[in-house]
Amino acid sequence: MSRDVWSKKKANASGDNGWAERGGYMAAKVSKLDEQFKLEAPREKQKDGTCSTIFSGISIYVNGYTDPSADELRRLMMLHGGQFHTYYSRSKTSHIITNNLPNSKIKELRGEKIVRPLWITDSIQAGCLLPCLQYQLYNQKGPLFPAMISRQTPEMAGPSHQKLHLPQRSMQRSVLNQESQNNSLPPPNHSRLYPDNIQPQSVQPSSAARLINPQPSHLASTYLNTDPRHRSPSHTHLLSNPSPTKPPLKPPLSPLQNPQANLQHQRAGQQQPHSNSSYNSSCKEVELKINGFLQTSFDVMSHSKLKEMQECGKADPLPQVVKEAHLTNGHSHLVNGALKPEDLLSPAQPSDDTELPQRRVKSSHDKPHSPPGPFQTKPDPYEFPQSPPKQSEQSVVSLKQSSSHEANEKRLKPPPPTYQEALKATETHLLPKQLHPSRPVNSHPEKTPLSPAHRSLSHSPVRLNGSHHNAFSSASLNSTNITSKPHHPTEKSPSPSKSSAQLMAQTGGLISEYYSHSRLHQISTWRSGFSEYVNELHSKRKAAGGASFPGRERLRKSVAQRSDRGGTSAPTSVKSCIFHVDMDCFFVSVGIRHRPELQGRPVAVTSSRGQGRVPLRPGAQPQLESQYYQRKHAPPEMEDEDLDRSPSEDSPVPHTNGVDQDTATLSRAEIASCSYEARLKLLLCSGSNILLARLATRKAKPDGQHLLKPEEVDDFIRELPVTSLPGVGPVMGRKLAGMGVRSCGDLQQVSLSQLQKKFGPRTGQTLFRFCRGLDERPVRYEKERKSVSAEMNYNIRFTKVDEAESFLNNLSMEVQKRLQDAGLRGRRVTLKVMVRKAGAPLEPAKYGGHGICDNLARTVMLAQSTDSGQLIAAAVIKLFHAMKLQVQETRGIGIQVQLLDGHHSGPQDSAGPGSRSIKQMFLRQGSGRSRKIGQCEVSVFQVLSLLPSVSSITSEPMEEDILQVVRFCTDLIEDKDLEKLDLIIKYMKRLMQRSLESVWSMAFDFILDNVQLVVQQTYGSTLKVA
Amino acid sequence: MTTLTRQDLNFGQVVADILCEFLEVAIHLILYVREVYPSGIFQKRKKYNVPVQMSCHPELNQYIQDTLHCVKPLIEKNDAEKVVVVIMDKEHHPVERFVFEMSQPPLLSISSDTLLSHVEQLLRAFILKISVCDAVLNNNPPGCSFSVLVHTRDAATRNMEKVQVIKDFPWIVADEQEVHMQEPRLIPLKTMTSDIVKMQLYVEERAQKT
Repeated sequence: MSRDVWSKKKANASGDNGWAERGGYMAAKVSKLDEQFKLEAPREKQKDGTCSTIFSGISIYVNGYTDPSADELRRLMMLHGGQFHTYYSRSKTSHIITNNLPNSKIKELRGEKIVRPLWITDSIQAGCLLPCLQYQLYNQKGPLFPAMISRQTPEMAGPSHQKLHLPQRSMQRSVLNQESQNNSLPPPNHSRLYPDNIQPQSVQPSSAARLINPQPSHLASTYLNTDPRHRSPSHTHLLSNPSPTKPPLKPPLSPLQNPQANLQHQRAGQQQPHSNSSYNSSCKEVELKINGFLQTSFDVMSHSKLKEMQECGKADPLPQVVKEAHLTNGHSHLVNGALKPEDLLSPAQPSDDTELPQRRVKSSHDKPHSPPGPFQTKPDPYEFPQSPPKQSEQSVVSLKQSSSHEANEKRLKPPPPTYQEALKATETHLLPKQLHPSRPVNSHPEKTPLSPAHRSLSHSPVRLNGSHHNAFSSASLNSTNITSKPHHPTEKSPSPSKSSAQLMAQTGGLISEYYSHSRLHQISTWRSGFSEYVNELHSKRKAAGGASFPGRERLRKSVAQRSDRGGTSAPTSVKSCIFHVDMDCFFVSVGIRHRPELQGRPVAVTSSRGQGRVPLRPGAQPQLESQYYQRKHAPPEMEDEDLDRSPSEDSPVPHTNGVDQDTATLSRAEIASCSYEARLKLLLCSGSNILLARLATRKAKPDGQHLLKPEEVDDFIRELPVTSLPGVGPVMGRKLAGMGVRSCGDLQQVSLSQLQKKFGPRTGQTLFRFCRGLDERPVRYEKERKSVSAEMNYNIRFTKVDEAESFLNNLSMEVQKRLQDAGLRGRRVTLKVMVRKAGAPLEPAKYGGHGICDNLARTVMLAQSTDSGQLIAAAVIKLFHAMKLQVQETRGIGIQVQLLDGHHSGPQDSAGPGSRSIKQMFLRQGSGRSRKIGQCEVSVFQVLSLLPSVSSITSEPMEEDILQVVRFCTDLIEDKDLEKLDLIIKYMKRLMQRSLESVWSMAFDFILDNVQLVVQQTYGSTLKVA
Repeated sequence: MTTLTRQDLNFGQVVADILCEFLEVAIHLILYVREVYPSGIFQKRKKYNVPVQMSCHPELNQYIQDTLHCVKPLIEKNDAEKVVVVIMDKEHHPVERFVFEMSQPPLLSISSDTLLSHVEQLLRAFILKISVCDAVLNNNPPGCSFSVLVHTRDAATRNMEKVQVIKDFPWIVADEQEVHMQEPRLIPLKTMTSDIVKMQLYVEERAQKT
């Protein structure tokens, strides 16, 4: 055994710790095993009688459990002239026999032949070596796409599907494998597979090659030809647009290969960046990018390639190509951008093709949610028969190239489909209109048939994956493509020059898409909506004089009747009573509202799958909700309890002589009656204050009520664990446990001063009171809104600064919308950015998620309160640039507006006495600055005296102010007044060090850097800052 | 100090006198504070109403005096941009440069009666600052020497070649290595702005002195 094998082995195999020390033991063992095998083989043959040499030259390695077992396989190999390796060796083992492999292994063994054991037994049965293609273990996607995998597994799961797919997949893989074996490196096959890569013009067999292709192409062509007429209504009316003449053969030529071609270029770039004349530039770029990344990116590339091969015809070839390139290195735009225009055609064309099968599937099977299964099988034929595809691929690419060469300037390429559009039916309908302006531009007739295809393709990923996720990433991708090819007309914008507008539109769509799908967003908007509604009701009531609650009247009446009837229950002397109404398991309750069959059974509420249901649910709920809220106000002064579980006060009851259990029952019945339609579970607990009302909830569960009587309070609360108190979380719980305090009873033993010492004056006080059941917080009806924000941290994958900017613009618009909805204006704008933590995986486990991130925030004070999205956007974009982030690493962005004031309070005068920003100070100070002795001195000391107050008051530095300071300092340098400068710098430094917020020290650093630069220019040396 | 009147005095000369006087005191003090020469050769004197140290080494004193004598005409014509006291280590690489950067306002006017006393105050501040500058500077390596450089404005050097103020004491163009310092760090010491002169003193210190 050669050494390098073992060093490789060491790197590959797991669990050989210490065993693979330089040759040595393992080498000896392996060679011994080989010898044994050789020795045993003849004996075995004699014993068995049947022997052959069908496996000669083949050596297998069995991984994991197989059927037949490894031992049996070993025996079979002995009998039939094969080799059996107990230990895997990359160079010697030709086949790996296994039933399944973990992802990591797949990654590791990519390029090897991984075959199911059936191959051996079948081969023996057949008496000859069967091609292993049929038996290759289906290799899923790269491990970096767990989401994709998980999403697809259900599709794969069906045994029937499996059977359908497997052979084809393995075929495709085998092509790969054979190639890869030839070249010993996994990916290089492309040079052979696609010779056109190297000699773009070499082969021109024309479309014939494809048409020769047995049935599949036949299918394809017919479909393609009939295609335009088959399209769904939304498309057909597009087709009625200008030039419906469609070259019938054009689309069939290119479709499938495009992703490959696309990828090919990347591949070629990796492999042989210089061998390739026409693609040289692009290749180099790609190579650069690729090499700039880790091994993983390479792996991903190859995986993507594999996947591409396998699923090229599948749902969405383009998205995959692009997406993966995107995911891998975030430089996909470079790839695209570097490619010649003819390549740009490629993204567009596959759509034509893939769309077909889908359409076919849809029409034939008529089940939009499960196309992937049958769907996958359809396109396969294109590449499945082994030799023809190669040829046809060549021809396709070369033909495409040649044709596109001539059409190069004239033709404006259709962009990759925008998926987000696909998501919204409405938008798709809009498309023709949007497209319309671009039509005159592209005179090439070819364009027309393509464009509908986009749209149709744009449907497919959504349906296929059953989620909108794809759409996001591809949407952002699209914008990349678009920006990198400005000459590229998009469906969205009439003139190619308006790429920024496109960007805006794209990211805007992204955002609205996100918010239309985000469940949390729905919840929070309902919540704010209903709290507004409640507030409205309250104000109405106030306006009406207070007695307009029918429920209260009813309640009062019934209580009165009871006491009339003889007062069965003696009114207890409760001064006031607070009801805490908790809608238990709200989502479930709502969910099973119209599904009585689920009543009493375990129900899980999940996030919506597929786009269809999302609009449905929110649609259903508001109506239900408002019913609920309207009626809920029968008992007066109820707060909105369901979502935030805030307690509510029942003031009339004390008015009617206190509460007792019956009253509670009554009012519960009252509330329940209003929630009758909702059939929601309802917890009602009452106590004398908010705390008790809330704490009593647990006694009322499930679906019950509980009245906490004053005399019970002490016992009740003593038994409660401290962690059930509001504000006592796990951390404080641990601290308390450290003090030996577990229950509120224990806590009562701790003195106030001790608590305050430990937890601070306020918290200590609160704890002290809470554990005694004391709570004096009033019930609030109106919760003042402190901030308005919009945040998105799903599927944020920018590749260019432009995208980030337009995204910020759009997000600002969203904020503007919200501000205006709420009738608020804000002054302080905070930009929150999530940036991939260094070392975190490029793609998190959750598909499109943000993964592990560093959260950064920057705040700026606007000159005056605003609700204008443009102002906010401008501020935020500045902040974003000031953060000097890598846009690729951005994983989430949020904009928050604080210091809100309503419209009624007019815009604050920023120059007013109340505003104290450094800028003002400097402006004042700057105007006072003059050459006169004395005044100059004063001005400096003004600065110095003002700085501390400013930095302590304004919590965040403002960019303008910082610039102002820099300007002031540079003026000082120009005035040759280094002493003052030094004073200011030192003083600022001290201040910044004292201030706890890092933003200040960052601001200081910024100032210092700028000042040093000027000093350097003027004096040739930098200021020494002690 | 005598009372100055506008008629009989060349203002430039007055300013140059004041500055050269100040520079002499300053140089002595720098040499003392920065320990270029052993403290034994210095004597305590009183200038600008503050104690200063002055060397009593005749040759050194002569050198300083001669140098300043040559600087004076430059200052008079406002040709001197900077007067630099360079402290060099054994290899004659500068470790510290005390830069007196000066400029005169285009129109000299001695308007205020309190001007001179005010200028004196300002200069005193300079002196005091120099005397405590060791607090902000790192110690110099042993065996240092010093030289005085003048940065002139425009082509003033040509005239200096022609007119030698003191015989056999010509100006020479400074070596590049004396002027340039590796990784200089700038420490501003003092700035003054008065009607007759605007001057600031800063130190450029080599980051690594040893």
